[in-house]
Amino acid sequence: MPRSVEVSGKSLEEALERAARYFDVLPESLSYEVISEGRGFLSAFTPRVVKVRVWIEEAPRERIPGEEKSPGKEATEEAYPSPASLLRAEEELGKFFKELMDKMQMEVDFQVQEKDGFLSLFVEGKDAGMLIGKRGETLEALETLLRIVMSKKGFSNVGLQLDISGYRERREEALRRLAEKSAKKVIKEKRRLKLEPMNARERRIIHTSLKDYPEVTTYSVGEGTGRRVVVDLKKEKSSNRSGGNKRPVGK
Amino acid sequence: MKDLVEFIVKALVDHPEEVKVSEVEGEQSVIYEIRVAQEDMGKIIGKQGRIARALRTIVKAAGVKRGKKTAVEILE
Repeated sequence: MPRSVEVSGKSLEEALERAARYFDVLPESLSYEVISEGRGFLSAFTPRVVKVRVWIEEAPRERIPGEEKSPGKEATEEAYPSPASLLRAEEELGKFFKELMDKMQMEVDFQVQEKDGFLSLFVEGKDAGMLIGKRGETLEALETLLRIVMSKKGFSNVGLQLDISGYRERREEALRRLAEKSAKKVIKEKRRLKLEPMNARERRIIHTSLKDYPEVTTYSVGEGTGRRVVVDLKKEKSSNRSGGNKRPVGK
Repeated sequence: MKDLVEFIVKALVDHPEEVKVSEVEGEQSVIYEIRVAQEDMGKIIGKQGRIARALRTIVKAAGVKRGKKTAVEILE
């Protein structure tokens, strides 16, 4: 299920840019619908406000320009999966994962749980550590593969998450602690701090855990797998704001 | 491990019958060469190579289990 957020701005562009910053992705990868385009009562005096709901299109559709639609795909997919289709999705996921583990020769146990149209795959066992990989990279790769395969089987409307030995929760906890520690350090030393490269999900955890921290602000720099969060001191209100919060960092 | 590579690639493409995987095995390492139908290339590479990267990472993990270094090459 797509995570979505409501944002508003003086223009559609501004609202989308804000959302892009929140999700930490490029504005192009966002989907949105306009909720209201109010102009208030005293239109001449009150600023125009555009309110939109924004979410990230999960990207199982790996389309390269010029590529046509895959023929076997079901033409119409419901926005929300029916109980019958959920049951089939659960079976297909279990079957695919079992065969994948057998072929990788990984000794693990797993179970698929369904909740609110969302499938969670929990994995445990002797080889769990190997399946998580360095900083969760194998876990991420497996989840990417499972999403694409499920979407190819016609279940792109079924949300999916993979967790191995409680890694996700532990990692999230560790990232929150890192965020807190970094903020304190930035305040104490009065200089910005660049964190290690992280994926979008991890960066978002840092952004959200510090968003209500009064003295610091966060933004991301770099591209692709090298993209990293910077924790910086919040500027005084009087300073020049036209640069937004993405000031260049020593290129 | 060749069957693992085949299994994953076939699950990703529209023409599984055209998937060919060859294995070149050395003492400590093994190379997999993948060929797919031209129109399936995008399906196994993905935007910015995201799918190819996931494939390599998964095959690498399976290699760790067997004590082998792995390389996956996608051929035109």
